[in-house]
Amino acid sequence: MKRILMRRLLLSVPLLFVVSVVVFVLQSLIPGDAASQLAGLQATQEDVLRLRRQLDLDEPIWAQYLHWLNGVFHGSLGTSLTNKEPVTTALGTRLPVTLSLVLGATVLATVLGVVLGVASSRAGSLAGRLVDLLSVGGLAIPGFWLGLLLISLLSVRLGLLPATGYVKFADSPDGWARSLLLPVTALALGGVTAIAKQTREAMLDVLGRPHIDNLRANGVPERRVVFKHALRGAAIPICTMSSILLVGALGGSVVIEQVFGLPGLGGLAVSATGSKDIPVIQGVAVYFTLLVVAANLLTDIAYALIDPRVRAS
Amino acid sequence: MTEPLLSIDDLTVRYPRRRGGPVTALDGVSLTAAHGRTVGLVGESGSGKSTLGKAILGLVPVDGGSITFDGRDITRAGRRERRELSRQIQVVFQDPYGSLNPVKPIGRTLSEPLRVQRTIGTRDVRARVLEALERVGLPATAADRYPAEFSGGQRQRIAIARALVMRPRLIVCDEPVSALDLSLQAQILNLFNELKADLGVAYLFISHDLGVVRYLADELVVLYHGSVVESGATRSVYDHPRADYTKRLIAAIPRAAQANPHEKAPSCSSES
Amino acid sequence: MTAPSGAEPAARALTGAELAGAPSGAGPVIAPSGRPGLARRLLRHPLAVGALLYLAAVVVLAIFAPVFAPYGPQEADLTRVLATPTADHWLGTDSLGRDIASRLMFGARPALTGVLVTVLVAAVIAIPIGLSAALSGGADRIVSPLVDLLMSIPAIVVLLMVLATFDQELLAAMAALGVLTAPGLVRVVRAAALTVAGEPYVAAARVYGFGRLAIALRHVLPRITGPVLVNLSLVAATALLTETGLNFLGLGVHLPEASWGGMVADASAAMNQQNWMLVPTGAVVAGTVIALVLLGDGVRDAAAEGWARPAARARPPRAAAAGPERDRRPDNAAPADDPPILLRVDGLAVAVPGPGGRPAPVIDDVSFDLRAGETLGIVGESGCGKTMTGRAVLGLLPDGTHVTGGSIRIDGADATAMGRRERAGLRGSTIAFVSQEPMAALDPLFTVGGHIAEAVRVHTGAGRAPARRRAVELLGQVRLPDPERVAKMYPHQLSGGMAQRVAIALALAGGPRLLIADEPTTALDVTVQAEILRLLRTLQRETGMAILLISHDWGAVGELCERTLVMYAGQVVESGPTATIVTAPRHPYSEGLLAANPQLGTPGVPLHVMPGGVPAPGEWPPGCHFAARCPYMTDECTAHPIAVAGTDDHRSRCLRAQPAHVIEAKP
Repeated sequence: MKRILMRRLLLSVPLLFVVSVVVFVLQSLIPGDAASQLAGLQATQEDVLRLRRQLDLDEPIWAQYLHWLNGVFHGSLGTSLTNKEPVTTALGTRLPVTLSLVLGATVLATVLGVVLGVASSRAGSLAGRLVDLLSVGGLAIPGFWLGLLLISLLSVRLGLLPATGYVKFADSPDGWARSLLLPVTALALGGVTAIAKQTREAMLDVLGRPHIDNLRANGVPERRVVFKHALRGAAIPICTMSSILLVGALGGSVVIEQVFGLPGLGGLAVSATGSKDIPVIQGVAVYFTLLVVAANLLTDIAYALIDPRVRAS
Repeated sequence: MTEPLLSIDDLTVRYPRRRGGPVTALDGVSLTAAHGRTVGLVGESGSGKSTLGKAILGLVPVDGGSITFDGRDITRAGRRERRELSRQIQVVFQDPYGSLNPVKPIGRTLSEPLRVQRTIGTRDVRARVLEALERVGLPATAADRYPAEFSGGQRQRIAIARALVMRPRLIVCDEPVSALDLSLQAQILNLFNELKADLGVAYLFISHDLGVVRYLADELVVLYHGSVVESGATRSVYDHPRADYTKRLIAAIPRAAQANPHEKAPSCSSES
Repeated sequence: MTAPSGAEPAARALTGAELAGAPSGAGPVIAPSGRPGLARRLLRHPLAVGALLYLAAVVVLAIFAPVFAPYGPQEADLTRVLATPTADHWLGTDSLGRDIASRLMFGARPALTGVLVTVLVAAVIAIPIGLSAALSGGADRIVSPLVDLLMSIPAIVVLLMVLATFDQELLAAMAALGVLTAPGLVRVVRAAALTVAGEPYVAAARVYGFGRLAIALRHVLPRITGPVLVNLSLVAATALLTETGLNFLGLGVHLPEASWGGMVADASAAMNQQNWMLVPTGAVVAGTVIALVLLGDGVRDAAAEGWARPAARARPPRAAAAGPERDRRPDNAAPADDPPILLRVDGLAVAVPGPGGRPAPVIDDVSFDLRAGETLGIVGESGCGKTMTGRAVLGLLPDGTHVTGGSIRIDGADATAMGRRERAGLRGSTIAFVSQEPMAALDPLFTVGGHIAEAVRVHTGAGRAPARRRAVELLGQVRLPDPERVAKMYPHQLSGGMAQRVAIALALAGGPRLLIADEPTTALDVTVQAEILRLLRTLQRETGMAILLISHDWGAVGELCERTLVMYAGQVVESGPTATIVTAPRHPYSEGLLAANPQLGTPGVPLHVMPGGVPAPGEWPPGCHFAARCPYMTDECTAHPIAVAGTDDHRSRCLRAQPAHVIEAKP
């Protein structure tokens, strides 16, 4: 168990390294740089050069990278080139939004998906077909499109929920929940069906195994067979799916934040890419990667809790 | 004629493990097989009997010792040499379902080893496929059908036919009848014996079932934890086992099956 | 840009289904050779055909958009903005008065090209790498960690950078998406290929000198096309959604060029005035994704049909075989002063759903008695109904399988008439079960002690601690050394023999009066087999429970059972004391089965062989089921069902065993 966690944590170091290098190399390929963007269209050649020197953009790319890496070891992700704000601060105010959205969607998708999946695995082929149908539909309908539909129906027409904007949890827990309800739903849609399908298949797989048969044959009641043995047996693929969803939701959140006007990391990433604000892009990449690492770590822990064979290996 | 067809000397095979040292699957195993004879190889699961078969076929790397076939060292034969050797040494596996590629019709499966050789014309290939099918008692029409259309016993016949198309001198049989029911098993065992008598093919017959080996094998090699604990003429090993493990193996055969009305079931009332 | 929904797990499940697709039917099936090609088979799947038509229409409309589109993509008519469908604009117009239908056709171009690029890039990278990882350990040591690493890179950040680098060049982003999707696909390909590479036929191919490349191309790739195609269709679906999402954000196609995502964005901008625009734009995206997924499923199914067992052919209806007139004595009736009858099976018939949904009998007229404390064996080959008989007694027949006649009385009560719950109450407490695969029979996630304690609590209502103590006691009772330690172990830490002892302890937890053991020694090593049989006999003496031993092995039955039933093709063909049957079988099948045992054969003398195999359920002849393989067959054998006859002690279902008057009494 400890070994697994250590391995995962050790793997995360090269991962962060790879991601940051990839981002650095890619951004160096972007034509133009922050200096020319900041200086504006009227700026002279000298203005741009001066600005470039101020921002240390005249250094070679590897030197810039080492510079940045040095900052990381001192707990700094640098400052934004566009508004001079420390990157950690800029990201810090936006992280809770994205985190609430992504975690909310993952949890919602997992809970609903497991309920639907278990129900359909027990209810026979008709419910199974229904989940199949739902899963194709859930996969097919773009989340942002559903978001728009929800806004159009529930916010614009019925006025039940706010269409856009974010309320901090500290300001109003109720408002926070109301502001997140629609975006989380829109982001979770694809996930619900993916989890439901996965759950159903995993449940049917486990329920068809000899040990389930043996438990039934030796008088263990059906309720225990289904919830204690089969669901636990199906839990590993469900966890895997959940963590895949969480990682996918990071991507999906960029669009959903845009639809619902949420001030999250995704919007920042889009605007920073547009203005070539390298430290901010790096920061977003690092945060996203850390979230992925955390998701993988949680999944590993879940595996080990569920399956003794994982603990042993 | 004194030189054996197959001679294995002090063979050692180790499997690497993720953690810890390698596992020794075969530890200094020696045996010989003569032309046209059947050597039975018995042992429990994990005794290394399948590994020995794989080593002869070049499917696992050898760590020590030598394998000599027909006077030539094949311990570390390369792919080209293997291709040539496959005309002499063939294999029949246990699983009648996994041993045939389900997406290929039988005819293709049977002709593939011939076509790999690149020395046999298309017409001859077809002729040899049909000959092999006939040999194992299947109609020529079987060539155009897929494995899924055949029963377990029929598939095992096809697997034997695949070995036969090469007209080999040695067939390694890895538990070839274990997955079959008694009546099918008897059919296949008889087929093995017919082929041996008609074609002079030798077998290395790997099995956990002492009953099958006793019936089929001329010589018997007993493997236990990767080492040979006993070998010799089948009859003498069976009647006068010397190694402790062989004795236990023979004692474990249920006597009641022996259809001897005078012999009562042994009274093993107490469990150790 | 939604989650890569289920691409991987869905594929895993499909892989499993596909690779396990080899049916296990016993009987020979004669099917016409020469199958239609893949394309023709695909046409038999209506959903796939629909998807194909839809996609073809989208592709044609996209390619020939300038020809088919009634308006140009930028042709604005400011007098008719945000119109709902009319004859001129049959999908309405957008906020600049541009024709939505025309723009959808033009917008399909970047969408389809983007999808194509992503799929091609992903496939070209993933298939060779996945295959080499599966077939070469060296490659795998590099590929697998790399895949783990790459799968953790947040794709969206890279996509944004690529778009910025290549000045919003959508195709570059789609190619990058292909690269980012590839690691997941590598996993799928590797997993599927590993399963196939482990099959004996691949080893056989290596024996005839095939190299790795030839094996990959000839043997592995054709087998994994199904899961790979399904996954590529999911990659395509994800790519389309990503493309739409990027265009929705305004990061892809340059405005005012038409794109599906851009049109959704237009719709959202106009949402306060009108929301019709959401409908066609969303529908075309969703429709295309659905079509891609359905087509993938269809191609997979059609590909598998090429080699899987053909769908069962309709058989000409046969007149239902009338049940033979039996005297109501069970097939193995014993003298009356014996212990009470615990189990009475009388005229049991069981049917499975056959071809065309018609029931096909798998058990026909099985009758026997089992007295308290008695040991009874059921012998026969696979497909004879032994296991099904045991399952019927347990009340755990597979889905769709029904008892169609006769009765099962357990302890005097009619079990076939019981409700589900009542029937379940008998299991574990009155009847317990031990199965063939001891490892697979234990839940891998629970300790041995937890497992047995659960059963103890279910049956006795004991508390946690007493149940635990009882579990350890039971482990001792099955002669496991150091039961305390074994109780803390997980199934994967046990040897086969230990696991079977644990499974027996589990069965004993409810203090059953009848133990049904279905091939309990078949999967074990020979020496362990003998130990388990001895254990069962010891336990039988200690507890006085009855044992019903189902086995193909005369040796096992002979070792344990006083009496034996021989089953053939769903019927009991002989019953009597084991020793008598073994030495003087009355039914030709018992005789043949005993003679086929190599244990009794003389080396050098051919074994006695029964030609052919057991007929599959639904292919039983009207008369004696064994007639086709029987050396003594007469015309009368095939004329009508054969009744059981003989003495009370030893009976057989053969005309040769019947006194003349019984034969005459036939209908």
